[in-house]
Amino acid sequence: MKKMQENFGHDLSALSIAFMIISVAACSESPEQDITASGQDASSLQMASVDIRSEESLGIRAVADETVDIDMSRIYNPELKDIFAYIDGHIDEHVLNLQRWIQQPSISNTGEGIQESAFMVKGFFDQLGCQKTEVVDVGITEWGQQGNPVVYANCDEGKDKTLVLYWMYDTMPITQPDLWKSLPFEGRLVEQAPYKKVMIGRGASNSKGPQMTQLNALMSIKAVTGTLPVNLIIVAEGDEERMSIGYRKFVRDHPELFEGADAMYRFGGQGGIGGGSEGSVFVELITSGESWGRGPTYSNIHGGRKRQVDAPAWRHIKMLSTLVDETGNKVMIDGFYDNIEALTAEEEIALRKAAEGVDLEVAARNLGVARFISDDPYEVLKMSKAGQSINLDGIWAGNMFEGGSGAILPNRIVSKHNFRYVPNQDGMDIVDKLRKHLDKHGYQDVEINVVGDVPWARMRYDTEIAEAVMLTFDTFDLSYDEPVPGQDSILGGYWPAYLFAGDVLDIPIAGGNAGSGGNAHAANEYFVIEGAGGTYGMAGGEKSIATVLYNYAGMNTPTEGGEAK
Amino acid sequence: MLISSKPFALKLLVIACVAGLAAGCSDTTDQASNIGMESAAAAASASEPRLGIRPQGDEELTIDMNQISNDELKNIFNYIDENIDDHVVNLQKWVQQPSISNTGEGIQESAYMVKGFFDQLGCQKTQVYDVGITEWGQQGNPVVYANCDEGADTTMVVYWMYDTMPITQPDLWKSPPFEARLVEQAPYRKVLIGRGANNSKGRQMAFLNTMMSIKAVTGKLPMNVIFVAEGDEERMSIGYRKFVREHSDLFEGVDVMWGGGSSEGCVFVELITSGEAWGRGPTYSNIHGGRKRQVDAPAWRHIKMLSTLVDETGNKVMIDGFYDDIVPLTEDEDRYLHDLAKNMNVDVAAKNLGVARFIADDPYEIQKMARAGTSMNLDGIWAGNMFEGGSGAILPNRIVSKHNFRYVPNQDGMKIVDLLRKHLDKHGYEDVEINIVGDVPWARMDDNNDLAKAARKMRDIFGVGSNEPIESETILGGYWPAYLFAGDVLDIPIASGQVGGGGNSHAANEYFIVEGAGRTYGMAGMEKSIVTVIYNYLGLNESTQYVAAVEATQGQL
Repeated sequence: MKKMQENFGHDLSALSIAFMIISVAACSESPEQDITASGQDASSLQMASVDIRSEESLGIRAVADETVDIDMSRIYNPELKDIFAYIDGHIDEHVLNLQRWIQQPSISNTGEGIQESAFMVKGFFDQLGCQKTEVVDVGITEWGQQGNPVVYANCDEGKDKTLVLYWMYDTMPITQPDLWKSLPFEGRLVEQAPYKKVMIGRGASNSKGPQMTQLNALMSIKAVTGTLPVNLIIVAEGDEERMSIGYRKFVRDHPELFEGADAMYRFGGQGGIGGGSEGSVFVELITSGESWGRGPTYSNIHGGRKRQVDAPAWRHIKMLSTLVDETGNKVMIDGFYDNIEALTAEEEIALRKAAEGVDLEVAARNLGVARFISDDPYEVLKMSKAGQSINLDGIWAGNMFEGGSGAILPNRIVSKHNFRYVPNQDGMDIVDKLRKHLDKHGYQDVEINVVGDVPWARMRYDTEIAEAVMLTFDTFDLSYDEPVPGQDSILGGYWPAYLFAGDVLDIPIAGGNAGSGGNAHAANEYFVIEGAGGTYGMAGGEKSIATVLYNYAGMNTPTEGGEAK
Repeated sequence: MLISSKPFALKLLVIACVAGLAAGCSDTTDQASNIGMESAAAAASASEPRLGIRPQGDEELTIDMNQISNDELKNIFNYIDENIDDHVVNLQKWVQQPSISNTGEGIQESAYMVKGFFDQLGCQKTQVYDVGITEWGQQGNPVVYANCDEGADTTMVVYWMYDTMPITQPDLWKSPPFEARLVEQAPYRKVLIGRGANNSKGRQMAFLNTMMSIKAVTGKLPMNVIFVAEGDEERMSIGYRKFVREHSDLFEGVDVMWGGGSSEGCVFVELITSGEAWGRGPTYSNIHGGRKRQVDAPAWRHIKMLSTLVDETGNKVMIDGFYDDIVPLTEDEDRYLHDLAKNMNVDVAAKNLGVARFIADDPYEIQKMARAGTSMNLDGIWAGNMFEGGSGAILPNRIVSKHNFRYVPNQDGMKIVDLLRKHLDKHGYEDVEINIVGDVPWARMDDNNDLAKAARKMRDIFGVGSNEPIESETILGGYWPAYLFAGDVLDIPIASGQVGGGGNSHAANEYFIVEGAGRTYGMAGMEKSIVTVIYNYLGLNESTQYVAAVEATQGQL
């Protein structure tokens, strides 16, 4: 499937994309009826989109079925009110902007659409009027792979404060095309209770939806006021799903491009205030007959030969089984759990408080899991915010045609593993310990390929940017997990925070805005377009971002509101 | 590649397009379709048809013509030599048509292509049968049946498989798997590279070429032939099983089968672990791999489960009772294996097979494992993120692995599945699903029947020699679905014999030897050996006839 996607990756016209979608379906054993129907829908929808842009409307309700609303008495600056009205008046276009972006695949694990996407994103920043926009080839990165281009934009509005916006333009690949209820690169709007309209598509939630929400907000501010409340430096990476290998090199090579940055604001959702990050190191384990000196050496051979030939695949299974306990939840590598710092009392309190509102059954259903490892909300929250793990992200070898019996003795088997780690564990130290573990168990021949490492990053939240976000949440009637007060913490969820949290730069970071989505890295990834209940839709998200920026710029105070602009 | 006639050129153009499409889905490089185009261009421009195949290649062996007593045979040999280019092109065209039972690609087209072969041969009845849903739940692939009544005394059933393995490692092929390129591969000046070249289009096309040659020279076949060609050999012969069991009437009066002889048994299962069945972990689709911290992993469960099935070496099956019921080899069988071991160069054998070494270093032990061993293999496994070099974090909701068990008398395939189920339950894996793809029981039979004797005689004539056969019934013949004609539905002698060959079955760079070298015959030699076996078997190559033939010749002079 990988090569096929590459073949079609250069075709940008709607028709080609429609064909691509059909082809994907054809190769992935979807029922033929669905292929035809969906394929036609895809192209007609796209053609219709063009017409809609000129005359008709998607009929998106900017304020839909939300039961929360914005406390307008705290929107002091009339500019913001105008911006809100502008957003409401242009929400159809804003949704189409997202749809078009999702229709452009940008899959860093395969390379599909990456180059096109980089230039598409550069175009976004050109449209925004940034003086400097650039697609930067980062070259070969630290662990040996070519990095994907980084898109950099500098938008100098002559303002006092400069905010860095972190973006990722890559998405996950499609691993289970048959489980999608609409095609992953169609960007179809569907009803999904309780939402009348969500957009389904790869990258919808992670992270084109939240990022297009930002861009739409910025474009709206500019349309209404002619400027932005802050200077912006935008850095968009294409390797987030490859351990940010290109981004790492770019920021380390070009600290001068971030001179004068006061803080970083990252896209997010209304789930809470983000900023800090756990660590993650990602490796591939490879067992082959060639390095073992037993079994097939060049290619797979006939599976009937197992009787007289050793099996690298069985060796890999036995090797993997030494890495975790029977439950699969405890890492059996010597020293893995060393160096872990206990949570502080404040962190414990924050977790306990956050656990109070958690309904595990609803959380499990939303995540698409039968249940969590633990049934105690506090334990589950602690695992998710401060836990450690070795995952089996993928594995492949030999005959992968379900239902077939073609006998194969594989010469090579690969599995993928991400370790999540916390202070003061260290990614490269974990790789060393893994190597020692393998050697100790007699697997000296098993190869470890480091894809990349993203260290944890501690962050404080008593900062102007975090306060601007929290103030916005209050104004939008959104509850949020209290960030850990008065100290730095990793509690915030994984992302490559570290480069701006001490590694290259050291500036305050916060993320958060109204709006939501789900199924990141899963089938049927979605972004909420029309909100419902306590969840805002896309328009609400855009308004919240405008509010954050005005709050941060000090332009939404009662004083500010008093001045007629 | 030079190709003869214009109609064929057009056909090749279509095939090139098909290959191009296939390349899109099967990871073949773009080069594949480009090469296809060049082939078509070459075909269009070439009016003169010469691949320039040398029928005798660089063979050091020769056929002892003193033992070829029937002039028909000599004429057929000549005909084969003269038409060897066409015969190789026939094989090329067949290899260029994918026929992958594990994916379904090209299966329907292939069934009708094969029916066409039998029509060309002049068989009165040729039919593509839809076998419907088979015993273990899957739709069977069509079976092609042909009845060629020559009014002869003897009727031979010829077993064919028209399906091939899928392509699992396209980047390891030195020429695209559906191009059927002729390349030099020491010591052979010309081998044909392609999926199915050796398993089994090469020798089957050699058989068809032989039949066509006999017919071209003599006007008829010396026996009646019933062809049965299955499209499920790489799916445990599920459709073939149903077809033969339901249509025993189509094989009434058959005397002998051209096939692989006796066979070990094989049962093939898939093991599936899912969050849905387990009640832990992701249930609908993969989820984000970062969730491993708080969510259980069906994939890790599968690994722990699999690791209970074999010992540390991966070579011993740890399922209680698996090795029960195994009948020890007879002295004669043991002697046969020792004979085989005598001529075995283990290093060369390992190199030819593409392995670093065998489990054992003792040739006899290797032969014993290969011919009478038992095993549980890990044929394939997949889950989650399979993009090498990527780090997209995934917690898979479902993981599947494939396993073929090879078993011997008196083990039983379905009993092995029962024992596996018990093993999983005992270890707490009640939720792990076993999906039976199919079972092919072992077939114990006399590998020294009249047809086998005719083949042995051919080997003498062709100078390749053979080991002393086992005089009693045995399974030491290699795996294939023999059982249906070895007691299950019919019970007739089965054997075949031909010189020549190929390699890399189920591997990358599968090949068929077109021009022989050293002690290995090429395609022409193979065809000649087939007709010699058949004439031997039918008593048409006796010295009396030789005398008569000589007299007739002298009379003419």
